[in-house]
Amino acid sequence: MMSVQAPATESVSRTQAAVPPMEINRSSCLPVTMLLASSVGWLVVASVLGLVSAIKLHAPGFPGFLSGASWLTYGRVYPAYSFVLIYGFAALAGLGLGLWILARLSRAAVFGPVATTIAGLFWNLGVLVGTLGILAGAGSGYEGLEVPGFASPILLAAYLAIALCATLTFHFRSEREMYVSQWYLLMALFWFPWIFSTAEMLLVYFPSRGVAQAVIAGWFTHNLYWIWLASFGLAAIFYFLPKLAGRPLHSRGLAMFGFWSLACFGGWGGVQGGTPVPSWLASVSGAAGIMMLVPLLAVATNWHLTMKGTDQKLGPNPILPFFKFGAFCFIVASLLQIISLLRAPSSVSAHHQDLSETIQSTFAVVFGLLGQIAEVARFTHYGNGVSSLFLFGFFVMVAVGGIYYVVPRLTQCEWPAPALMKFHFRCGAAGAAFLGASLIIGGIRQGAAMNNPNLAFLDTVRGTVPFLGMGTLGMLLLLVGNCALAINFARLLMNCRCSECCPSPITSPGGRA
Amino acid sequence: MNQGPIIFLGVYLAMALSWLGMVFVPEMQLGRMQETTVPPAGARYPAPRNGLAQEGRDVYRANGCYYCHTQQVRARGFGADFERGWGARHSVAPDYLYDRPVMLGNLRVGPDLANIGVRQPDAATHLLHLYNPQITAKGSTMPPYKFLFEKRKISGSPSPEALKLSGEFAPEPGFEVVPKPEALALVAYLQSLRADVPLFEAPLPLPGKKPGASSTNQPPAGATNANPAPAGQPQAK
Repeated sequence: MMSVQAPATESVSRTQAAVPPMEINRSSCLPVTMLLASSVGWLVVASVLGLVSAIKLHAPGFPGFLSGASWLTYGRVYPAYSFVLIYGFAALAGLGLGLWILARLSRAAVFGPVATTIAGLFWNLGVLVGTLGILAGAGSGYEGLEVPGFASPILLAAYLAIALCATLTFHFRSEREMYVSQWYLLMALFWFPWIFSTAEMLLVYFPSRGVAQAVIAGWFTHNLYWIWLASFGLAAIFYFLPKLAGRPLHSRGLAMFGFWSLACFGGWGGVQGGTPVPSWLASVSGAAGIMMLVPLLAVATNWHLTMKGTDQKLGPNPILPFFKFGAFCFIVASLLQIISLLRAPSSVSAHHQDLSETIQSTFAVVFGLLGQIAEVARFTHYGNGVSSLFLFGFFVMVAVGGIYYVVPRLTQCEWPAPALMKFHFRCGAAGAAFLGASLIIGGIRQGAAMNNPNLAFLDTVRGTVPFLGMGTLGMLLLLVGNCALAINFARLLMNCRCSECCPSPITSPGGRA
Repeated sequence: MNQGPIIFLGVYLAMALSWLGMVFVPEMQLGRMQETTVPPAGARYPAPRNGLAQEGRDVYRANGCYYCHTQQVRARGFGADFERGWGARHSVAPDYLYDRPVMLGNLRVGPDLANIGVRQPDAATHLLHLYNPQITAKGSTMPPYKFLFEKRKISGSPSPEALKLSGEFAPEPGFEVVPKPEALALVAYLQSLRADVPLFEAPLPLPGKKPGASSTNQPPAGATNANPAPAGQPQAK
């Protein structure tokens, strides 16, 4: 299929009146470089905040004389870290890379580059105001929506402006055939304003009564991760993985199936069993969560068949590992998330004794083991472990790989220290694996202890300390790796003055890797 | 083939459906909930928190207490919330009717606080625990909240509000540690956290009745400290 090969053979000239790559590059240089550069800045800030909060979790006296400062207390540093990582880094990197991919695939110049840049600066302002607000104690009280009410209009307005420019870029495309990445990007661009404005209206400005807030907050956070962030990351993987491997995507039909099943099932989560809300909500979101296996399998199969047998043929490539690792972590994190939704039949046995016995005798081993994870993992570090794996293993890896690929092409400047790329990959992969694994294993141990009432609660907390210490080590590795990127990026921007590089024509867009 | 409109419409439909199911319908079902009357005296439940406790809820939110503490007791047979004595009954939707924001929490680095006002009614103990958790729970990983307190020179006679600190925790002679208004508000909020009124959907278990024998992965009932009328003694934190 020709359309499937579009990203792999981008430099082939077409007969259509396509915008030349030089023109695309000129229009995207300013906004995309600004979005990506600021996202890297926030990534370093997030890593520092994450390291501080990780240390404080097992050493509450950290950092020494400042341990008594209100703005450095765990309950403010942790939400600030989470907010900066998602809204500072992930949003800006997703929008920057998304804009670039949209322009390239659509063969269209970026619509309103100056407007996009200004909107991006406003988004940065919103993140700054929000972070300071959280540290000052104005956090909203909802996990995943920590941003204070006074900063959210800035964020929403900036997002709408960028998304509008990106959509118009897509609308004025000269390449009519759409590629998978464009579907995902449109979903990401479109979905966020709805969930964000809904959550802000019903949680912050005109709060609902009682636990309806908890349902809406859970729905928002679930959509934020599994639709919005996942779409940005999947768009990047679907674009870069075949491109770097030099092969067309295995199946467009399978990709379409994966996309629509994610759209159908991805939005229905967020309420876990045992929450004091009507139990149909937990059932619906649990069922939708398990149905997420469908898009996951479709996407994983497609990647696997695309990459199959490419290992021997490809030479050493410093960027491809980022996407491979990111894709792998997406699959692992999704599976761990799905497992954490399963409940053993024993838990319903009080009401459905007969059914339970039948099921137990049939699937006793499988369901018994998996089902206990849900009961054990709830209220432990397990959940944070899965989201760390999702954020650092999947999203950050993929976005950083994209940044390494895109920035030299935009600015026409090489990375000053290419060796740091490999270093960053090793630090990032080891850090994400360490952080995720220690929190997940520590969380399971914590949950097993917590569900045993003969153990004092304090002992269940003390038992997690070694695992949290290992998590801190992972966070440290992540910080080191991300600093390597920031140093590389800063030196690149200093070396090359935009006036020289941006308007210059691209000589060989597909030639470098 | 121009797929743009198809993608837009399809995504819009998927988004609208999930919004309808997970926002609109729950809002219709839960958003109109009213307070109920509970027998035998026909008292209103839940009663709104008093003003100081509402201020304390803001302190609880601002300092992110909900990142380490949950406020939900799960039904018997799911976890060991009952056996740990975290509540006389499981938590239900009406318990949170007046809370803005509702901070159910997702992680238990510290114990559940849905009934901390029942388990620990003593304000002085709460203040000591907030000032330095090592005083009341040695080895806890909870950070000290010294910024909620003020260390000042004793002028004249010591303040009656001053914390009774001794040994390594005591300030230097001539100084005293007094709680700021935020600390007092937070303690009032913690004392107001009590969901021990029996409701139709969540009755209190009858005294002497053993928990259902069918919950298979629980330890034997005799090994638990489940108590339908929790004593005032502090639980392990």
